[in-house]
Order: sequence, then C-alpha cells, then structure tokens
Amino acid sequence: MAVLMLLAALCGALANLVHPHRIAWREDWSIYIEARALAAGFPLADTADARKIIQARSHIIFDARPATDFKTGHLPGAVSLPFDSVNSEFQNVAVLLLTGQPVLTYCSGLVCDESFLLTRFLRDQGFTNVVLYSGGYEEWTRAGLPVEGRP
Amino acid sequence: MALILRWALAAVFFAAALPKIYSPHDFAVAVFRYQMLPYALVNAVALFLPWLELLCAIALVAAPRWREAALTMILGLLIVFTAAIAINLYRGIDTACGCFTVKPGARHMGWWNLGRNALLILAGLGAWPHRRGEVNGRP
Repeated sequence: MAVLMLLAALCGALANLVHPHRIAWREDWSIYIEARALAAGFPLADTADARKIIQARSHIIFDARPATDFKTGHLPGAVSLPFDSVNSEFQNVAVLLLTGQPVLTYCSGLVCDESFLLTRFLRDQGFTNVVLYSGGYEEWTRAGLPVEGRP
Repeated sequence: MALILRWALAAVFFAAALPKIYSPHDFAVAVFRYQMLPYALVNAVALFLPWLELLCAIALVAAPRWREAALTMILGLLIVFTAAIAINLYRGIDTACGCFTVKPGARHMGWWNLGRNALLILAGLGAWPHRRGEVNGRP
C-alpha cells in the first residue's frame, strides 16, 4: 500500500509539472470568494443552484462586475449593479426592491470580490435573502450555459 | 464472481480518476468545497488522490501481486469518501460530490451517494480473494 501511495504522489507531482492546466502546489484558498462568504455566513449558490434560480425567475440577479464587463455578456435576466459605483447606482434599483426579495449576486469568477462586497452591502441595507453565486460568470460560461448581451 | 467485481471496481475507479486528472483545478475546487481540509492541503490532495484511484484500478486487474493492497486501499478510500459525504450532508453543506465529474453545474450530492458507496463497499468485500491461491492471481 505504501508503494501505491508513493507512486501516486510521484505521478501526481510529475503530471502537474507537465500539465497544461497545472495548479500551484499550495494555494491560499482563503482569498477565494467562497471561503470569505462561508466565513461571513453568506448563503452560497453553485452553478446548478444558479441555473435553477434563473430558470425559476425567483430572484433578482445582480451582476456586480464593472458595467463594461456586463456589456460583453451576462447571466440571463441579470441587472448590472457594479460594486465600484454601488452608492450611486443602488438608488436607481432600490425603489424596485423589497427587503425580503430573493437576490442572487455574482461577479467574474472564484477570485473576484465584487459580489461578496455587494452581498455585504445589500445585507447592510436590510436585504435578508441574498445568495452569492461564487462561480460567477466564468463558471457559468464554462458550463456551456446561455448568456445574454454578447456583442 | 470476485473477478467480475474486481473488474467492475477497477472500471469505476478508472472512470472516477480521469476527469480529476484532466482538470486538477476543478477537482481542487471540489475538494475545497467539502470544507474538511486545511486550505494548505487542498491542492496536494487534489493532485494525489486521482492518481491513487487510477493506480489502484490498474493494480486491481493488471498486477496480481498488488491486488490485495489495491483492494485494501480502494475499500479505505470508499470508507473515507462515504464518511466525508455523510458528514457534509449532516452539516448541510450542499455541494457537488466531485466523484465522477468535476464540471461546474454537476449534480449536488445527496443521500443516494451514500447508497451508491455502500454498494461499492459491498462489491469491494465481495471482490476479496477468499482463497489463498487467488491472492497472487491464481484462480
């Protein structure tokens, strides 16, 4: 058994040296938006959840990326609410929202932080049902799911 | 019967290993989402585990001398995986299993995963070479 384990460690290390999508031997996963959301106690959605939510049209979907990114493509039905201008932009959408309304936030991928910050902002504004889609636009498109607004 | 079960287990572990080896980052994300390991170990486990599954699968059917060790390892892995799934279901961590696919959007794990793993453990026990001669590949 020890030989099998040793061989597996060796193969894993060698494969990672030549793999086109090699990963770091050690990574600080605490920077990932998901780890930060878990630490803050925010509810999370993965791609399967986000897909169900979008199909059910049960949530308002906020795209927290910069507006220029939103214009190059976004999740179906999403509304642009860039975190970098949230203080001014939020006034435009706040009148349409009730604090108990289900909201889904996302940004570009696993390591962006705009959706985390937007979720925190919305919770501070009294929104109690905010879910963060941690995979974001990157995981959505990698799963081959439809997007809107592509030029 | 033991021979069929060994080939079936080998096929299952072979199929489970390949997507993880092909997409190490996606598998690392799956490991991370279990929220069971220190973050510093996530990538190391994601690199090591699929190769252990693959080598055990190969040894089970192609290396009679290592068959017993591979079967012991497979049973150990199945017990660990089953415990990890059970603990996360109990904790309410709703994530994909990361067992046979690591693609975003994969189906979330549920109690049926435990049933499937229980069957695989039974298959592992059934695949055990009962007669002394079978250990080294003789029928």
